[in-house]
Amino acid sequence: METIWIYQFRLIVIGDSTVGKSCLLHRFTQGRFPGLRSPACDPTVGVDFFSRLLEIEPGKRIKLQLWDTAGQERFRSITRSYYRNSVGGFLVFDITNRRSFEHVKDWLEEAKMYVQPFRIVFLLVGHKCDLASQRQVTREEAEKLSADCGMKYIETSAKDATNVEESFTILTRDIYELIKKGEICIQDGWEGVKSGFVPNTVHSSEEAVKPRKECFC
Amino acid sequence: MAEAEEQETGSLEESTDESEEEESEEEPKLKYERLSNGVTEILQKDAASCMTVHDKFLALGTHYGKVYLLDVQGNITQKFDVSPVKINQISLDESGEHMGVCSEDGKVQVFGLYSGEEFHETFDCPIKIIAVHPHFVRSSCKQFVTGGKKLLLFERSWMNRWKSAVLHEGEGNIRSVKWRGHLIAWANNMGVKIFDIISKQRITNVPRDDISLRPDMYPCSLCWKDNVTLIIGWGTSVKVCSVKERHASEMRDLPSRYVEIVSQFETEFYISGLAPLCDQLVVLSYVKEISEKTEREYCARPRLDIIQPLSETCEEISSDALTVRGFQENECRDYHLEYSEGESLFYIVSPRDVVVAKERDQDDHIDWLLEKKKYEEALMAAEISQKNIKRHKILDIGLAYINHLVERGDYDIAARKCQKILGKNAALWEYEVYKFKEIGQLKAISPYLPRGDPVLKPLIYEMILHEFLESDYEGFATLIREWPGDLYNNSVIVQAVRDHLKKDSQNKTLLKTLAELYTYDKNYGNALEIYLTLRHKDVFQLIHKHNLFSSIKDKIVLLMDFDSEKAVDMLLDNEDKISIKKVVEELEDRPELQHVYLHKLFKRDHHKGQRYHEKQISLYAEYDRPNLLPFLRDSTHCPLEKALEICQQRNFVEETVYLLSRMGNSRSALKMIMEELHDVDKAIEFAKEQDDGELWEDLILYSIDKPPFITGLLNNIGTHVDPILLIHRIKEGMEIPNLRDSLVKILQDYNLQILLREGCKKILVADSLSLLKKMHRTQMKGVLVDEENICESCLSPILPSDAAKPFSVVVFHCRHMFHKECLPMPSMNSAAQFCNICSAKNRGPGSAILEMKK
Repeated sequence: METIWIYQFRLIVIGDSTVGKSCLLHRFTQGRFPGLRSPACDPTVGVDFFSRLLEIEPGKRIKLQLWDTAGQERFRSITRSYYRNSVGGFLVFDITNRRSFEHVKDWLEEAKMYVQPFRIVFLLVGHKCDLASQRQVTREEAEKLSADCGMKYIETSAKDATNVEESFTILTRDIYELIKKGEICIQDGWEGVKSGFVPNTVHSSEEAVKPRKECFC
Repeated sequence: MAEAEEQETGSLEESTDESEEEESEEEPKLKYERLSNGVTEILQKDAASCMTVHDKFLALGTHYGKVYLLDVQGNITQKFDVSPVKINQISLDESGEHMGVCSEDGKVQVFGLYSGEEFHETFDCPIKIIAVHPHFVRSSCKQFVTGGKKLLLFERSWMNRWKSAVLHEGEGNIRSVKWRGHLIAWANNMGVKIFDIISKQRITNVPRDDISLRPDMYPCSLCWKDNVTLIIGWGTSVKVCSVKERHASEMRDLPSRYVEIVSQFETEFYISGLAPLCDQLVVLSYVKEISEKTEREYCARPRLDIIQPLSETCEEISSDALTVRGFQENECRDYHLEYSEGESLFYIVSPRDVVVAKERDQDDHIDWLLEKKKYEEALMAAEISQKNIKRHKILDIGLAYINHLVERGDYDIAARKCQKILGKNAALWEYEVYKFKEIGQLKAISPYLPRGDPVLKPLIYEMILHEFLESDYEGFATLIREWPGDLYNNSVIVQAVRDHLKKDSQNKTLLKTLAELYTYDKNYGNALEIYLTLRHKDVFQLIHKHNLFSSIKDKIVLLMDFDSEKAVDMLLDNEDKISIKKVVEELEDRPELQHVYLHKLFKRDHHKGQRYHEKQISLYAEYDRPNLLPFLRDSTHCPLEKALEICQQRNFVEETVYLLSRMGNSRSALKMIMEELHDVDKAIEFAKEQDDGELWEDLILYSIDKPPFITGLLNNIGTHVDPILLIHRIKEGMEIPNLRDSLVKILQDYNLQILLREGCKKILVADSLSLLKKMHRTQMKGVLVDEENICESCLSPILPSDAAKPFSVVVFHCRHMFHKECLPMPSMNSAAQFCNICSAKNRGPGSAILEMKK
């Protein structure tokens, strides 16, 4: 009964292959960095999704449905369908990989094109900030780009958990604010934002809640 | 967005062809057809993610979260907007009325296609699998399984609420499920399990072989071959599992069923899907190959193989590589193989293409045979399954075959096939004949042309005859002989033959053929003339058949010259049409032929030719002496004097002797035999025949001074004349060869006769004696006298009623009994007394004498 949430946001994680999208999600949803031999180190094919509750204010929980997409070009056409039903997105690049930064604009444009007519809020994530010695993209460059595109920027590391929690909180809060302002609203046929269950309307609650709980492995 | 999609599919279309078969002589087992219509439309903008096949329709799920119901041609009948993202599995119950759908975003829906939604739930993880109870339509079977990380069984309770239970969890995502009967089979990261819904027990765990493969990229393929046989394909491994009932004695705490792996083997490529085909398997394989140029792995076309599973290996029956749209982009998990159990239809589902594989029918078989130019077999196949073929016609195949043979230059075979293929279709025949004419092969087709039923235009036949006439007289002759004369215009051909004869007037073949043509034309005179000049044996047949006797009257000599034997037979057979007189007259100048004729005539009938018998004597004498004597013997009409004269003239002794004896002049004849022939045997024979004492006398007289004759006589005449007569006459001092032997023989003959008579006498005496003994024994037998017997005289019982009274009875050997007093008193002079009755019987005329003798 405690797991009741007020909104469900569907968020996507996009960016070039190997920038660490899956690891970031893994760290956030399961609290650990996948070992080198774990399946999470395999490239993602298609889409995976995870969910987690996030308490943005005391007593105000938001359910996040997080879609991990394949970065490889050949799976793009399939993942595009996932943009449309997302309200927010993490645009991830690897600070040790210049090319992945240069592709950020392409990803952004593509996402905006497919998400129409709905709106999508992005957060630019410079990932792998623990590898400072191999850095190829400066913080300034990234901040400039994010400002140009009307995004916030954050540098994270799934390996040592730097800013992981924060990045999700930032994006979630921003979306929540926009909803409160009415700039984003719940619509039929769009799954980006869903309003949570009101306890009274949940029929018998047990069946509906139980499977959801158990998905938090 | 739409534009981009279109570009992409556009480029895929280009590199697409239907399906490609391996270059081999072996006929493929399946044929492929792209599912089009609505499917083409759907897949232009969307991509297929899964499909389920029901007997009557197909349910196609897409990456954009739609479920389409399609008919078997691929036309859309219904569309469900389930989710914005990929549909992972669709499950239909057996009735096809209920559908379960699950999608990537965790949605699960179970609903009646006609009765509305029943269950709707969204889970917090992608739901990969769903399977509704096969009999979901029954209210007692409202069950389905679904799951992401764990396998959940949902059941509708009596309150119409859905209640779930976890069947299994903790081994990673559930990625495949198949429900059949009471058994649910599923696969997670570790292996395949089977759950028995009746006993609510998990009955097996078949572990995954190759754990190095990513379970999400190489999912497990499951298919139930029947209610108890599950086929698992995972990576490159195939396992056939059989669910068996455990024997009661082994039960203890174990589940009542268990699973046995009956067959297990490796395949060459990664398995994307499986389906049963009788006792074989259809396997859809995902193929990765290393590019030669870039040395990088790339996706090759998927393969559809039919294999025969053996216990530890498998045998490939057929293997086809399929060019599905966009195969370069696909992963192993993007392919699915679905099948319709009833019809042996296999659906190869890939994101951009759905291909149907069908078992090849007879039409396809014929297609293939035709493609491989195996026309003969195609024709045979078409004939055998005449009723089942829809697209092909025997005639068309046949015509193609003929064309093919002609192209290959096998004109003769082609022509022969025409007969069978064209049958009675005159129009086609004519068409074919013209075709053969064009390629200059009229001759090849000529023996096979129909000669009635149907009959082609005369022009056709004439055309062929002309062709032969130009180059092959023999062939021409054969055709003329074989073809009925009414097939072509006779006069045209006759004219043509005549033209040719102008160039080569002595050509026998042509002449003969011309004669035959004349015959057809009933122009027998001309025909006969040709035959006679050719001295052809058919002439007699011709005459006979067409009764041409009037026209041969003046040709008798010719005929006789040609073949006297046959000619004579014919003349004699038709004596009523050509008189003997006429023939004899005709042959007057050729006595030898005349003789042949008359001789035959005489043999047939001794009397018909009697007026010529006189003439015949000299003919025989001249040409045929051996037959003269038989003739003289048999003929009653020839004048003997004349014959004698001829024979004497010619010094024909035997004939003369015969004639003399026949004329009663036996003595002259005998004299001739002895003087001319010096043949004592013949003379004796002659004398025997005549059996005349005078002749014998003459013979003896004549022989008396000729020792060899005497010997002959001595040896032979014994039975006819007393040899003493002969011996007495032999002059003293005359030397007779072998006289002693002859005498010895005569004496021996006598001796033999005496011996014979003595033997006879002995036999007679012995017989008499034995008979006498037999009689004596019979007479010694006793005679019973009792009340039954009566006195033959007084007819009263022989024994007196009063036994005390003295009485006397006489019993004779003949069994007759008398009272002594009933017999007459024996007279004094005859001592013996005889039975009255028997004596009376014998008393016929002269019996008294017999009695006296006794």
